[in-house]
Amino acid sequence: MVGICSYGAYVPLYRLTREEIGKLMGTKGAGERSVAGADEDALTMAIDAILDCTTGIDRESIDGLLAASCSSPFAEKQMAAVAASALDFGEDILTADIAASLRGGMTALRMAADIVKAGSASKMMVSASDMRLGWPTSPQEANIGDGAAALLVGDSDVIATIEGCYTESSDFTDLWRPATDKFVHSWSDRFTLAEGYQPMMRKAVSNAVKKFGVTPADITKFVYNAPDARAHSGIAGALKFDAKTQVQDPLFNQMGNTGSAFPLMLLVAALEQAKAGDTLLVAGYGDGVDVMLLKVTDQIEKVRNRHGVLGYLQSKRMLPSYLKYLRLRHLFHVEPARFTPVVPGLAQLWRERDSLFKLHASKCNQCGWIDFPIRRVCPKCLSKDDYTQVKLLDQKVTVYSFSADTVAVLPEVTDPPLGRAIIDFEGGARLEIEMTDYGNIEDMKVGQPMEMTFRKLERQGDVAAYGWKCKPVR
Amino acid sequence: MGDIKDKVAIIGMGCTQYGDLWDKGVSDMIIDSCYEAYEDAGVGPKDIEAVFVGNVSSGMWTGATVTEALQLDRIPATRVENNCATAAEALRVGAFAVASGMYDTVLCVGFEKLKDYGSGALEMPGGMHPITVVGSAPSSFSKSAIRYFEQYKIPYDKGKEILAKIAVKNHANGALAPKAQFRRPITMEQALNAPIIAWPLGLFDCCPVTDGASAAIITRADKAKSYTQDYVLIKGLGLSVGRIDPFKGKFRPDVDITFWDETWVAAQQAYEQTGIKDPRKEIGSAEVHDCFTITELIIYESLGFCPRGKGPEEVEAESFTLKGDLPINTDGGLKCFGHPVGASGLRMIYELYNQQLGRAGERQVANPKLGLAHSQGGTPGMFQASVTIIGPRD
Repeated sequence: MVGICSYGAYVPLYRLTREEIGKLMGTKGAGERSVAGADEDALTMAIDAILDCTTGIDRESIDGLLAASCSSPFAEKQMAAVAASALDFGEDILTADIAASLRGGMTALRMAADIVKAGSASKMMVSASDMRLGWPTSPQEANIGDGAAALLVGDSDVIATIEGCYTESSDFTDLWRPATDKFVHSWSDRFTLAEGYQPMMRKAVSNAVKKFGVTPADITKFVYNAPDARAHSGIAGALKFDAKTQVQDPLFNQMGNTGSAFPLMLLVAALEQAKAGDTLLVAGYGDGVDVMLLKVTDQIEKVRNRHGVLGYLQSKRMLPSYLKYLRLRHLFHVEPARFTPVVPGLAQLWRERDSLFKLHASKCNQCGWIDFPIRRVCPKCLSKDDYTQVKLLDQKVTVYSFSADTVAVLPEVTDPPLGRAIIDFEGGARLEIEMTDYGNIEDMKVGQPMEMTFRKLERQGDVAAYGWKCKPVR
Repeated sequence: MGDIKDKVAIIGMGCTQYGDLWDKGVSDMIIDSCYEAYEDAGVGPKDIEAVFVGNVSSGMWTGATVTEALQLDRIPATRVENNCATAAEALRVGAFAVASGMYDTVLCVGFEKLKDYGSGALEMPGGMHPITVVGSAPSSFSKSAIRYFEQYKIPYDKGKEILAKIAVKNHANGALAPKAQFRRPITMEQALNAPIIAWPLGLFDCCPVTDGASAAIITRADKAKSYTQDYVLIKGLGLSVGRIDPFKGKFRPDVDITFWDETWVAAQQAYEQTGIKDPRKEIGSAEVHDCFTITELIIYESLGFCPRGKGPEEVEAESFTLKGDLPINTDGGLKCFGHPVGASGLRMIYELYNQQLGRAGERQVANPKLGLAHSQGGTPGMFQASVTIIGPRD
């Protein structure tokens, strides 16, 4: 039976209250939104969500990755291939980006289900992630949140079976972003809600329920996205669901609208609270509607050790000001560095990808010494070119020492001071690496547990460089 | 291993003012330091048979930079580099060239022009690893401070105070050194309340980045008297280069960043060559690589001046002040002179030389015995450590 085998999510550490956002223009707002850190984007958040989803799962057993996003850092280059490489999926896999639609996450989930159903793969990973930009001071900016979800779709050991899929497509325009612009555009919601979201959701969900042969009374939780909280609250009643008991909280006041990741993140939140036998109806709106019916199995108890959406929402650090948000997103100009930065060369990045990208160390075949990066001559027994590559990624990490650097040369240390740490992997490797999301350096302790996170390396130059950093366990 | 003791004499030395030398170019600094050394030694350009040049900051400067500045005509000139130990390396290689009998009289000069390029704090410039090189020198050494405090159970406030005392001592000495960049004493309050550069290191825990040049003229020991009566002899030359590069993210789990292994090895080499059994008693004054206060604290232990973990007690006892039993950084060290990377090692030897010859003015130590200069390039985890010992002529 095809279904979801595991779930994971990622919500960045930082939150900003809408009250703080409103101060500049004298507007009001309730709740808070999630904000990606200076070194995060749709790609890095997708990877963090997949890491959460694959806790205890061999990533080499996965046959493909569909990565959905409206805010890929690349207009030409695939996020999924980068993520699959950093996460060591293996090379004989199918990767694709599902771009440009707010229901992209749901569409990717449906495509993965169809691929598995067709027998082309037995395990497909789906990620959806977004770090969309609203125009500064616009309602969209306050409404948006940053985050990611990941779902593993497979044909065995499923935690929720996929009972049915239904899609309606539409070219209705409410939110859009021209290829040449970085901010999301919108039309008056007097029009877009009345003529777009509300009638389309009602129609597609009604048709889906009819097709699946169920009634609202059969559904434990109705999970769906909406442009904003007000639009969300109107749908449940209109479709005869009990808003109090049958609707997944859309988390507008804790997280915000996370774009293509939004319906999947709400699904993950619902799965976190679901029990065997529950029936979930999921709908994702954007350029039409994707609807899916899921039935939770007793296997769900085996995947409880995830951060998930709700777990990550509990771990947070408030941004001090709206200005800090603008700085993190590079929305004003700062003085360029006077010092020549080190610019990564693609040849070197490629050559050293097993260490830098996949976090492989070398283990000496003669004496067992582990070293990072991969070292050809063993420092212990001096044997040459006689080693096996070992993966550091899923090992436990503790911090040996650490630093917060106020004078780093990098021209784009967007969120100083720059953290650095020397870390120990339980398997025996020690390495020095950037440290992120550490909060106050005075609160760090020698020996505290850390975890690895894939981040953007802030470097000037044409090449977008990514790599692993460490951060305190959230 | 061979023996260098008493084979090579330093017969003249020179040193520019150290600081933000906006009005001096590289040639000016070379000329000023080398002509002071010529005059001191009583030699002229025609006596120089070969030049060894120390410089780090770029590939722009070569041995020819010095022959051009000094108009030395078609003689051998070689640039050497060993990170922060570069100037000491120029002297070391020059000494071997003389000891081999190849040349009689050799010029060793180190220089660095950092301020023309906007450098503020020894940020890691180009040429290193593009991904794993991140952050500045203070950030590298701050991690040693954190580990040192942890290892010896020193509370944060106490640790900050010990480091501050080292800065206060060096500033007191630097105030007496006319060529230092910073010539003012500081108080404990100033040191403790200074802005944080890389926690827990504050502004006064860090040496500045500076322009400067220093030079030495060396000759065969048996030929020294033909030039001058005031000279010193090279007693020992230690050098140890590590094999891990934290700049590439490499770090071995068996490396302890609360002790400078390479410094220990280089010191043992130099002590053996010199015949030193008890460095604490036999060294009269030392110039050490105090790029950061934590570096100097650990150097006390790594040079064997006190047992491991006892550095803080020695700081409290003021053992290494001008009035202590082993004055260290009598000219104010890197803290007050700043650190023109390719020049600093010869600046240290310049101070020892002046102490040996009784020329150190208000900083003069009563009994200079043997002088030790220590330079340490690199970063915790891997160093190029150099120890040079000089002593009185026979």
